[in-house]
Amino acid sequence: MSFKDANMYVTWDTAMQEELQTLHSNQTWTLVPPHPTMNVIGSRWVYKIKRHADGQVAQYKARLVAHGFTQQKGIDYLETFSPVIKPTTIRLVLTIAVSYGWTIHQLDVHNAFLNGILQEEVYMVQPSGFVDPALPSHVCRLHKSLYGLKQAPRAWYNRLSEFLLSIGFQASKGDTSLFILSHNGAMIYLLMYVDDILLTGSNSVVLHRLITLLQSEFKLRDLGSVHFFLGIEVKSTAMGILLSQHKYALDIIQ
Amino acid sequence: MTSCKPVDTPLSASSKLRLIPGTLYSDPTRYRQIVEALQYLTFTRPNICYAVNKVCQFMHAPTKDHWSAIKRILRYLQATATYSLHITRDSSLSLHGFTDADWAGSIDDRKSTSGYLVYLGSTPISWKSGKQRIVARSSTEAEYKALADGTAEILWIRSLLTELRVPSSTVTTLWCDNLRATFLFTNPVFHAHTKHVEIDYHFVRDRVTKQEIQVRFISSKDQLTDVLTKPLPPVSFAYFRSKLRVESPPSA
Repeated sequence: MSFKDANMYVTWDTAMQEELQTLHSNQTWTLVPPHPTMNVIGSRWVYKIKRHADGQVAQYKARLVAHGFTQQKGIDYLETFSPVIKPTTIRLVLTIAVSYGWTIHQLDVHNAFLNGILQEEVYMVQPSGFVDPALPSHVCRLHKSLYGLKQAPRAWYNRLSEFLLSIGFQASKGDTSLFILSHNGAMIYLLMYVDDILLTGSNSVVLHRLITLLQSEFKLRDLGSVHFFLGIEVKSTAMGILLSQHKYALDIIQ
Repeated sequence: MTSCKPVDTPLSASSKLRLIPGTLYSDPTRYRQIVEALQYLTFTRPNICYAVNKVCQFMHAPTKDHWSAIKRILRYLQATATYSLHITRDSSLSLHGFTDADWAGSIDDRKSTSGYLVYLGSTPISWKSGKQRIVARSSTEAEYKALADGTAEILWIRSLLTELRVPSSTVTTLWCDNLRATFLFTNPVFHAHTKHVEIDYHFVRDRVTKQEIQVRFISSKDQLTDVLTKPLPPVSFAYFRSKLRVESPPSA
């Protein structure tokens, strides 16, 4: 659906207002006068209907996505590499948690990429339909990350890892997506894969305190014991857990 | 593809897939997309790792034969869609590994295939199946290469366990079914002919001397990496699948 189509519906208009409200309270950009030397990138609206398991509409979601493909290296982005967790690390941590009988929490970060802080100067046109009437020719100078930007995953990784280090975690040398906290004999492990986070450890009091601490910094939900992450279903058994890619396998066959 | 006949192994035991000859498959993009999707599926299915790696070797120029091999993997998946990796509780959390090489297994270039499999307690946590980059001139050379790859992976996992402060055994056992190779690591008499073999040999040997790793002999029938280095008939494939903890879930 294009902005032109969506603009005719009140539901989508509300959804776009909500997204702008989020971006505004996040101080994502400030309006600045344009200058010919700026590389001003475009943006577009992406519309998605999120549904509950029973098919009922859960949310009309409008997301403002930056045209990352018009960014220029060295001008408005520098590094884009963001570490990807190794499958072995995940299986290793799960095996340890299962053997010690620890609960494996899954945390869901809302709008994860919007948390990234930009190091580069990035300029973007004002979003379609929501141009400031007083400053119509101004452009957005981005301070925080947007979905679509080349550095978005990296900026988010940096933001989360800096916060984790500030509250006492240490980054693993063997896998940079694994963070370890040792506190009065308690051991806590955190695995991050973009906006999927697994958290487990020997002391549930410390664990819950950490979740509260994370919630004070990020909009984040504790989904409780892990059931589904990275497309893998997790089921408990008498002896441990089963990891299943049942749905994923069926999707390949079809 | 949902109505095709199910099979009980992902690759025929007599499979001799090769680069040429054959008619090129008409839709190589589709071939590549499915191979990539299958690669992610090995996250919970070490038992199909060999078959997936095999079809992966022809991504640049798939023929109709290669496409048939893909279709067979999909038929296998259809029969086993619910199979899961069982991570089980274990009080010991001891680390041990298996390595093996299928010497000169590739018909196209006579390169060997190596495989390793690493367990933490009773759960497999790391595995790999892949063609070696250099042609090995003897089965022992091929075995050294496999041992060196397995050793590198084990050293990495040992360092993670140290960081996680998980008490594990001081020395990690690496099981291998090549008697000559295991002897050479206990008796430092060595007659390698080429530099790359020496590097693999000394890399493993150093870690044996430092008592981080020990290389022990295991008979071929107990060698769990067979499923990572060669195509197998249904009975042995099912045996290895259960050893690799890929299980059909209890019906709920």
